[in-house]
Parts: sequence; C-alpha cells; structure tokens
Amino acid sequence: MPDVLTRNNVHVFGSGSQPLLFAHGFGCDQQMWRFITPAFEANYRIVLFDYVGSGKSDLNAYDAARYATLDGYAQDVLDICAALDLHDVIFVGHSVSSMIGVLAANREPERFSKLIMVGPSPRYVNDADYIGGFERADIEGLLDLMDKNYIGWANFLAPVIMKNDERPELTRELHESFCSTDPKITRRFAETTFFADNRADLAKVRVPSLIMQCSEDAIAPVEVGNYLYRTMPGSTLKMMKATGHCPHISHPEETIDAIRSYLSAA
Amino acid sequence: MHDLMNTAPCGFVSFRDDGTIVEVNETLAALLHYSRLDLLGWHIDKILPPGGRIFHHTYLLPMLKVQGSADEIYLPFRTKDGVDVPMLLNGARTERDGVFVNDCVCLRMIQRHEYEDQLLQARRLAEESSEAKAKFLSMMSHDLRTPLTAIYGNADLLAAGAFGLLNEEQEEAVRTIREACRTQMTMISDILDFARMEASGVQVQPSAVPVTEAISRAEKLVRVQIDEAELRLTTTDCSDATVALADPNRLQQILLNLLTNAVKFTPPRGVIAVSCESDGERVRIRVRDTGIGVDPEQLARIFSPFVQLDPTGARAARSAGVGLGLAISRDLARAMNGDVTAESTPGAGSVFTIDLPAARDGAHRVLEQRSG
Repeated sequence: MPDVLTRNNVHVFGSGSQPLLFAHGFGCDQQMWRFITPAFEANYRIVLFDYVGSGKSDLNAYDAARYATLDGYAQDVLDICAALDLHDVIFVGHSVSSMIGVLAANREPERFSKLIMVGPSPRYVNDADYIGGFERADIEGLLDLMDKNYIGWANFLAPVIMKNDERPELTRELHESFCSTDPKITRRFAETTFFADNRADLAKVRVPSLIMQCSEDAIAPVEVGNYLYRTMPGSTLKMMKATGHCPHISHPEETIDAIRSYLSAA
Repeated sequence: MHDLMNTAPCGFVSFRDDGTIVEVNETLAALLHYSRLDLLGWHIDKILPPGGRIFHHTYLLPMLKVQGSADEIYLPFRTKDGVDVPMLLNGARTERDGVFVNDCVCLRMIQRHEYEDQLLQARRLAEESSEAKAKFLSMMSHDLRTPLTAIYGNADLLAAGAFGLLNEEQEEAVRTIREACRTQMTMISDILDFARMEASGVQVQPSAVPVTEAISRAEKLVRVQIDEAELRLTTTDCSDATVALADPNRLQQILLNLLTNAVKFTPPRGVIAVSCESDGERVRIRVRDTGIGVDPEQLARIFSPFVQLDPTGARAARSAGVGLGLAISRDLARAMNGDVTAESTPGAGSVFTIDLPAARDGAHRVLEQRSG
C-alpha cells in the first residue's frame, strides 16, 4: 500500500498551527477549494486531499468493498489525520463530505474540534415524512447520465472484459483534466453518496458543528438543513444568501465570511 | 446577429454562476416548449431533470468555474411537459458587462443517444459475463481440488504401506493415481491462478533477484522431467552480477512454465539452453529448445488463455494442460513491468524471452545484507 499522503494526494500549507482540513464532495476534487483556502492560509494549517478514486489519488488503492459505504471514505479522513498526527482539527466538508466528517468525528471525536458542513444532507432520497429532495428514480437518472458522460472517453472500454493485450496498468491512469475520474469508481461513489442514509449518525455527534444551508439548493433543500439543525446536538444553522449547491465555487466571499464568523465566534 | 442566434440549428443558453439564465435563443426555448421570455431570469435547474441538476452542480459548474470550459457534456434538458430531451453541450465561461457568465451551446441527440444506450448495455452485459466467468472458474477450481486432495493423500498413505505392503501391480496402480493427481492439481492451480488474476489483478512483491539463483532453483524442480525425457539442459552467459527486479516466486513460476513447456515439445536427445543478458537497464532470460517449434499462426495466439499446442510422442498423454501457462506467465511478467515474448521456427525449435527491469546495485546489496 502506498503511503497515505501519496494515496490521497495530500497537500499541506499555510502558516498557522490549527489544522483546517478541507474535504471535497461528490464530483471533482480538492481544487474545488481553491477560492476559499487563500483566506485562511495565514492563520491555519490547510490540509487538502482527494478521496481514493477522485482527483489525483492513487486509483490502485481503490477497494470496491471498502468504498461501498461512506465509512470507507471516513477511514480515508482518519488515515490522513493519523499520518499527519492532526489534532484539534476543524473539518470543512462539502456535500457528502459533511456526512463523511460526521462518521469520522463519531469514530475519533478527540481528533476534531469543529465540523463545518457546506450543503450537507444525511439522506438525499425522500422517505415517508422525511424530505430529502429526490426520488430513487431521480438518482438512477443521475447514474445513467454519469455513464453517458464517459462514453467518449479513451478508457471507456478498458475494463477487463477480456484480457487486455496492452499494458493493463495504463487503464488505471487518470486523464489529466480537472474532474476526470475512473468512470466505474465515480459511478460507485455516486451510488454510495446518493443512496446513503446517515440520519441515525447525527444524534451521536459530540463535536460542535456549523450547517451552511444555501437558499434554493437543488441538491440539499432547506428542509434538510432544518432537519440537521433539529437533530444534531451542538449545531449552528447558517442560512446563506448564496443559491445552488456549491457556494464555495459560486459565492466564495459569502462562504469565507460564514466560516470566518463561526470560527471567530466560537 | 441576434436573428442568426435565434434561427441557428442549435440551442444556446447563458447563465450566471448563481444559475440565473441571462440569455437563451429561440431554438432552445422552442425545443423545450417555452417562449424565450419565459426562460429569461429562471434558474437553469428549472429546465433540467433531477439527475441533471446534480450533475450541473457537481460537475458542470465546477468545470466551467475552475477550468473555464466543459466539452462534450451529455445533459438532458426537461421540457415544459416533463419530457427529457438528450443534449450534447459545450460550455465556456466569459465576462460580459462586468459579470461572469457561462455560455453553452447544445445539440439535440436522438440516434447517437440510442447508440450510446446500446453500447452501455453491451458493456454491462460483457462485464457481468466476465465477472460470472471468473466466479465460476474460481468456484469450480476449489470444488475440484477438495476431492483431489483426498485422493492424493490416500494414495500417499497406500504407497507408504500404511494399509499393508503392496504388490508390484498395486504399486504401479498407486503410482499412476499419484501421477494423474499431480497433473490434475497443476491444471486446477493454473485455472485458479488465472481466475484470481482476472478477478483482482496480479499481486507482485518485487525485490532484487540474482538470475543464476532463480534459474538454478527452477532447474532443480524440472531435473527429473529433463532426465526422463532424455534431454540436456545448458546454462550460459548467466553471471551472479545479473540481477532482476522481480518477485522471486513469480519469476520461478514463469521459468518453470517455460522449462516444462520446452520439455514437453522437445524430442529425446534435444537441448534446452538457458541464457542471460543484461544492459544495466533490462535483464533478459532466454529459454531456447530444439523442439518441434510453433507455426506462425499458432505463435500469434500462443499467449491467449486456453490455447493449447499439441505435444507429440510419448509425453503427449501425461503432458495435458489447460492452455493457461503462457497466459499466466505473460501476465505475471507484465505485472513486474516486464514481458514474455516468443520466437519460433517450425521443426527447429522455439525461444521464449523473459524481459524484466534490472535491479539497481543498492537493491541488490540490501537483499544480500538481509539474507546474510
């Protein structure tokens, strides 16, 4: 197994001592944080990484069984914390990473000082009275769409349908451009993310948290933010003016302000 | 220009980072059964199906914002009546009137969409069938090996006289049982190895391996077969300084495979010559025989799984295999950043070459210290 820092393409920078660990969500990679991190470099130790299977992580380390649930991704976070001997960590997770942060903090609460959750959702699919925002068929539509978006890619037909006459390791290389990932892994990540149900984990959280809820978020609606606030002990709800699901991309200033205010108030 | 945009045979939509549509052409509006004015000011999410909204937020928008463009994106749009229209989209980010906007052109896909569905379906079926095959092979191999172990163990006990002394005929019968078991075991191991490699790839642990040691170990294991076949084995040009970076067990497996093959296909009084060569970067081990050779048509398929050549003569009966030895050998060599290749002249013999990276001096020294 390669070392964790290579496996997860970990980057550490900044002049402060307290770790600010940024975890990307489903889609793309650590570059999603590029508009946010400059604002915190002077006062924190910034840690960026890609989950195994995303960005420039080591695809050979991908284990379908481990990453079939979000626990496997939470283990990535804990592995990085252990490798860098991080303590008093402020975990900033976008989307599905918010729940990955919850799982990691429930397993090793002593490592974390705060959880900052950008567009979190403990369950995306509606269930009886719970409003997640999607029906199962909607998620299946996404999976179909993900499949089609790899149709023209060079490695589309690469999987081991028959013995590959070319060098097999070539099929494990990622394309260079941003957001490029292995199609099979991404599809599995989509399934793991959007069919997950972490509602039962919320009440166990002992680390203070900030819920950053965007207005008109098509992926995590306001009802979800309210549900999280009601269910998670020690949580603070911040309703943002920003619309959409990626305020760190679309409204970086407001996102920076919200994080900064929460950290300075605490 | 504005008219041209509205009559162009492709859709155009421009939206801000917050999703607000700031421009759209008549072509796209008409395709979605809206008027152009309806769509202006709407959120882009309103004309996307739920899965498309997730894709927009998790992939399309980040690509436009971070990369500045996104090409050949498959994204369905939803009409006013709730029907999804498959579209192919190219987007680029630009600044207009002091505001960043994302300009996208989109083309309706009809036939291409169907072809892609068929291609996806075919891929899924092929993958399922491949996984089912690997599972079946693995399960069968286990099931076949269990009773064989019992047969072999009991034949051993019989041969050792555990149930009383055997007469000459009984001894011969037990010998035949044990020999057949060994052959069967090898075949099953090959199938199991191959199934395992298909299912989870080849695992290797490379270290510095002096090739003379590897050859000498393999030679000992085939010595009896070589003598029985009345062949001569020679080793030339292999110095202790020739060190390959390889998994020692896997290299031995490859060498054994090649030597056993050479024995199978070389008539009595023939020669099997092993030679080595290194240029500092690569190490090559050649196994040359004076056997029956392989014709060019067969040579092209020789590394494919389940391809068997026909050994001739008295060894034919007991040299049966499943045709996986060379496929496994090549996979193993490739997993070690090497290869196995073959050349042959029918009637004159064959040469199989194992090509591996050379180990650096440091790696060799570490290994020597550890073993010392």
